[in-house]
Amino acid sequence: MSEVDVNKIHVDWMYKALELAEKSLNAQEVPVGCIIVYNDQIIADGGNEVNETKNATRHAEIIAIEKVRDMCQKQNIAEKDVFANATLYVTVEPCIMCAAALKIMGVPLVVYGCANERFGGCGSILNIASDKSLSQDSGSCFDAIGNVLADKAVDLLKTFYKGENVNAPDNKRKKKS
Amino acid sequence: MSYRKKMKTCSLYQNDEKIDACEYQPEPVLADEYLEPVHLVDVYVAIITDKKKTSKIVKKLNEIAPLGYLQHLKRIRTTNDPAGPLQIVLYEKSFATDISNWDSQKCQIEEVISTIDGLGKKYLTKVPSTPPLTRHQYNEAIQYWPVNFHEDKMITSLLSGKYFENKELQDIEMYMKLAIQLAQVAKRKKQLPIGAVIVDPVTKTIICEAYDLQNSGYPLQHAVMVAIDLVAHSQGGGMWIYEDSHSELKYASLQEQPKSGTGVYLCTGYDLYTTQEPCVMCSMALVHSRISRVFYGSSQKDGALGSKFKIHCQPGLNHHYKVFRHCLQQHTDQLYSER
Ligand SMILES: [Zn+2]
Ligand SMILES: [Zn+2]
Repeated sequence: MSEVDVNKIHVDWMYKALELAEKSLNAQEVPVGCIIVYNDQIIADGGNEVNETKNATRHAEIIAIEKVRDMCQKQNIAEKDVFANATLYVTVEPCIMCAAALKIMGVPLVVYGCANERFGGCGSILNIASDKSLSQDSGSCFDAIGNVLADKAVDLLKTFYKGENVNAPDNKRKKKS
Repeated sequence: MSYRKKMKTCSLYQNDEKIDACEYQPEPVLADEYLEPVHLVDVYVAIITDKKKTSKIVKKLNEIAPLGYLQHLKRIRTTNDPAGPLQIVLYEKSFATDISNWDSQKCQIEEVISTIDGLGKKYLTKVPSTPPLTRHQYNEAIQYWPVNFHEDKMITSLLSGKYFENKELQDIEMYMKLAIQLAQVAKRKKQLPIGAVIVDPVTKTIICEAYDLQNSGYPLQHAVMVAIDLVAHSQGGGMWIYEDSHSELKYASLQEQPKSGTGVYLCTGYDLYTTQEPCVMCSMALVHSRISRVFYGSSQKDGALGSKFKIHCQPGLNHHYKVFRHCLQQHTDQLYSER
């Protein structure tokens, strides 16, 4: 496959992730969308569910990871093999937490839209994705390809930040992604 | 699943060995900038040969060569050198040797300086390049050149070894013991022996009791992630459903908690006690959750709160929290000695 073809594939999948981000926006969550692709199929998707669950770790990537696990359990297939051959698409660079989680789960490739200047774990704040100083217990490094339809992801974030996170008390009202 | 008010009544904890009261202060994990030695930079200085002209000289230099980022330096130092008791900072060496765009400015400055009356020949000396952040750094800095020091009382207190009063130490020890007990529960259940407790320090309420579940099959269910989710459950949210066999996982629902004035939001205002240093994922989860303080026992090789990273004070992140390590370390180390 030529590089152009590969890029086109990434763009096509990213449009799917963007659709989910838009859904999050309507649900008053930070608009981040994520899909996990395995054998050329979307096997899981996710959007932010932080406000809904009152759990600040419920990022789109984590939601999607858990959907893959559910699927594997239902179909009785080894989840390790699935994660090891999957690609995760997410509209915003995974945060430090999610980057660490993706290493633990053994996802080898992550394609993302725009950079995450606040929390980014693939280079913006720290580069956990490619950090080789961590031991095997922390999982293996993954490749990260950024800047795929970044503008569209940014537009959604901008729309969200024009409003406010209604769940935070006034003095704590911080916008986050 | 609900939190039992008297946590000590459980027979579960009878086997617990007695842990002696300990006067030991948990060690604060501060950002590297507080622990680094003084950084130095070369500057040109000159002796003031005519003492009466001092104020004029200072005024002129401040005009043509402001100290800029070296604002923390006192412009003049007094020495007991009889040849020239007063010495003054002229400008930074790299400023003078810097590439072309500074050249004209540099020439200008040197030209003006050469016309100033009462100044001796310039020479190079080393001065601290950053303001001292601790008394220790201050004492080191003034060996080179006098500097201003705006003491951060909080940092001084943290470094004093007397930050916590006895009463607080007793609370810390109590919560840490509970975390150790939870680690022992986890061990009995063939889980990794890591316990975690989240506490509201104002109302002295234990919000949740958690332990590691990653051996149950989901590798992300670290003790801290479980604790954060239990806090979410305590607020009517939460994501994970826990099997009945893990009845030792507990949380205090909002109705069971003393009323706090401000209302709850994630882990704002809460403290975490955990037996082992949190990993990158968990440390960042605590940033997202806006935890207030973290106390842990044993360090670990991939730890992100002092060992490999200092996520709690990582520049660029919008929430920072205090971290104290090596709480009841002799006891937590025993949990990990066999591994
Ligand atoms: Zn994330
Ligand atoms: Zn962890």
